[in-house]
Amino acid sequence: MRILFVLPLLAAPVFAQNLSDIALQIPQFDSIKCKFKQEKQVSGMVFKSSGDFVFEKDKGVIFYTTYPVKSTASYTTKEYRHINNVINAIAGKNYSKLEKDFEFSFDNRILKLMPKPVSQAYNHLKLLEIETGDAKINKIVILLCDGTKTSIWFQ
Amino acid sequence: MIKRILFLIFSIIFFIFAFLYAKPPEADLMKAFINPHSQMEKNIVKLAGISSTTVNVFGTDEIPNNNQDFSEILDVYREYPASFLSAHKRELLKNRQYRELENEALEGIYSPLGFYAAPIDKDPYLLATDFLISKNKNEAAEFEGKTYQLSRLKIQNTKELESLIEDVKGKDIYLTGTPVHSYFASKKSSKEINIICLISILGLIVLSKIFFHSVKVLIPIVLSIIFGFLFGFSACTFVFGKLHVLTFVFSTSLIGISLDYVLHYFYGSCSRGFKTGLTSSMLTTVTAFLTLLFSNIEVLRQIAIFTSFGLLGVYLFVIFILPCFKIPDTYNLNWRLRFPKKLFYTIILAVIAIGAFNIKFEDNLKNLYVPPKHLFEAEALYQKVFNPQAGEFLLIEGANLEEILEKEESIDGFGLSNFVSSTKRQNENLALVKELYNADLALLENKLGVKFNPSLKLYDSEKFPLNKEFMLDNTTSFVIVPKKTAGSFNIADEISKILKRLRYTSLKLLPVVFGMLFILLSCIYGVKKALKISFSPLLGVVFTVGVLSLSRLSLNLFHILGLFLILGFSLDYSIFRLNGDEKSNNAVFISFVSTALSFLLLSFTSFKLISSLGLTIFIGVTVSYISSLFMLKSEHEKI
Repeated sequence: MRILFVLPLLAAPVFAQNLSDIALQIPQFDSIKCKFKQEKQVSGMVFKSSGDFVFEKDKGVIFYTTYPVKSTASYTTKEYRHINNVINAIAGKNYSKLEKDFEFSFDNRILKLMPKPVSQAYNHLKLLEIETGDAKINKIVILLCDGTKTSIWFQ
Repeated sequence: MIKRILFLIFSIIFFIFAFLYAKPPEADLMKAFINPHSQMEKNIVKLAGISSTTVNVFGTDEIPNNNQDFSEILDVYREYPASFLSAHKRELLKNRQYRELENEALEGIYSPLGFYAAPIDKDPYLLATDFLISKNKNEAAEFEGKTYQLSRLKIQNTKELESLIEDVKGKDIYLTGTPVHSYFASKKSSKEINIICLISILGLIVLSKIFFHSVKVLIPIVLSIIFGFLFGFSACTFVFGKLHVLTFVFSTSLIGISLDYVLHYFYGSCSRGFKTGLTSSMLTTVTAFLTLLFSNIEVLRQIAIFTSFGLLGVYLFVIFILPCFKIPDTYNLNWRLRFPKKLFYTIILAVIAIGAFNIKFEDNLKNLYVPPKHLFEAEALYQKVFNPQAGEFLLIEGANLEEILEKEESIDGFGLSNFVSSTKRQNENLALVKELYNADLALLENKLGVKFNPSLKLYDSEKFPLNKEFMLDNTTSFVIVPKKTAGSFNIADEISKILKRLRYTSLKLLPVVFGMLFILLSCIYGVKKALKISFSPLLGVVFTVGVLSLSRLSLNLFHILGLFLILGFSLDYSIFRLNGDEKSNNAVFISFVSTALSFLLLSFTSFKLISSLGLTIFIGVTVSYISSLFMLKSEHEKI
């Protein structure tokens, strides 16, 4: 009877094709602090922002937005456990944890995750792209079913 | 011969029509006992039905997906973002804290992983998103250093539940809620019933070997049982349409009585008084069961028709069809009960007397069911981790949905108004949001460098997809309130009250049934013989109450229902013992042993309702049978 819980849906579990091949090509990520830039395209509008990013392994991620407004988006609490599970699984290369709900492919250093129809995320998330560097993530693109596209660059 | 053929043709047509007319059996336990006397009882049945489909899934591991489709509801919030406000946003709007609202909107818009319940250009202050998130509280909780997630799933059928149980196997995930208890209880019960059936069949085979030197005798016995069952089922289907599964369970007594009739045929069909004995036995037992029609308890009314017509069917089968079968060789067990009569009755009377001072009744629904250990522990953990509301329900009545929603909005509770607002509340919300837009929207647009086109539409709450989940009828909804309040009630307590009323009704009906049977027996055998016949069944009933009370067992509705069946079984023993010869006594003995064994086994089942019934009948028929050995000497025994 309780109504949906969309936030966790955006980061529900995931699945993979050729898991072992892909795992070999993607580095393992450790805790990191860096700058980020974000561009969000929604309802025909573009919102740009930037700030500091913190990833603490096994805890979660925090975005300290400093421009154009000051705000903190922390995904470390129990409410964001699903998001953290996905982040930690990718960072720790535990792709098997994600294979139930996502299909994914890896090409040209870009890891693409697409929710399967059985996934809670299927009706909301269309595509998650992760562009990897040598030992870190360079860029993430989140494409939602309603057309919202969020691109985040890490520097 | 023609009579037999006609009888069979008529019966087959009767069965075919019944099967065509039959509906799938009703499995809802509440519907077995409650033929709602009032609107309140109807509502309780509906509320119990609602809770009986929800499973709480919680644990520290990833909980299974909630496959429910909420898109229709999401569409409403997407299209009408300003009509629905969370308490927090409403407060800010009322206090004209527009800066705060703007900051919250900006945080949401720039949030990297944020989502939007409605398009930003239609809902720039993310009111719909905030409303939606406000409904997602308490779905996670910390307990002893662990984080537990909770999901409430609607389960439509057993297959879905089995799949869920399979999904969570081996994970730190727990299931609670009525469907889970029903599933495990019925699974365990069916396993136990299978074992009991197996032991009963083995017992029957052993008895057949001892008394008939052959198991071939089981063929007419089984045929008569099937015929009686079909006859009862067909009549009951025509009267009630949909039968309850418990009717089938209780109607197992038909098996015992069918066995009686066939055994008596084998042992006494040649004797003079056989037909009279069989007819009066059938009439008295049918009368006993038909009296249950006045009970106003749905399952008892069904049992009354099922068993009465079942017995009539067996009776007709014995009269018309059994003569086609060869009467098997019978073995006569020559034995006399050596137990001192006076000592027997002294013990019986002592138990009755002491038991009378210890009678206690139990109507509390919770005490009628003892969950398996793993479910008990899961329920305890669920209570500790999530501390759910006590389950106090409040019924809200109104001339229409608008009135109901307005009333709900003035109450602190969980109901339909948590998801859809009344027109009055929506108009208030729209006015507040309009003020915000007039005062602040241009500023927000300037900050973001965009132009918004916000939506300010009123939603027709009559169309809300969740209405049917909370409305009991067109003028009544329910709300779950956090604590006891004027007019609120607890479903389990209300059901217990209903069980108490039913127990009273059944208890009052028992002497009426007995009185009617006595009058009938007096008409057939005269008052003196009727007294003799009735004494042992009455003793069986009273002693059972005494011994249960003495054992500090509180009597529940099912013990009382068992007392009716004691009358039905043991009257037969008395009638046949009085009218039959030595052979007939053997038939009574076999019949008693098989019945007592079946119900003794039933008393060991884990399902308390069924074990109560089994224990009651076992004690009752045993004492009644032994008493009949002392009280009733058939003509040959007097010689």
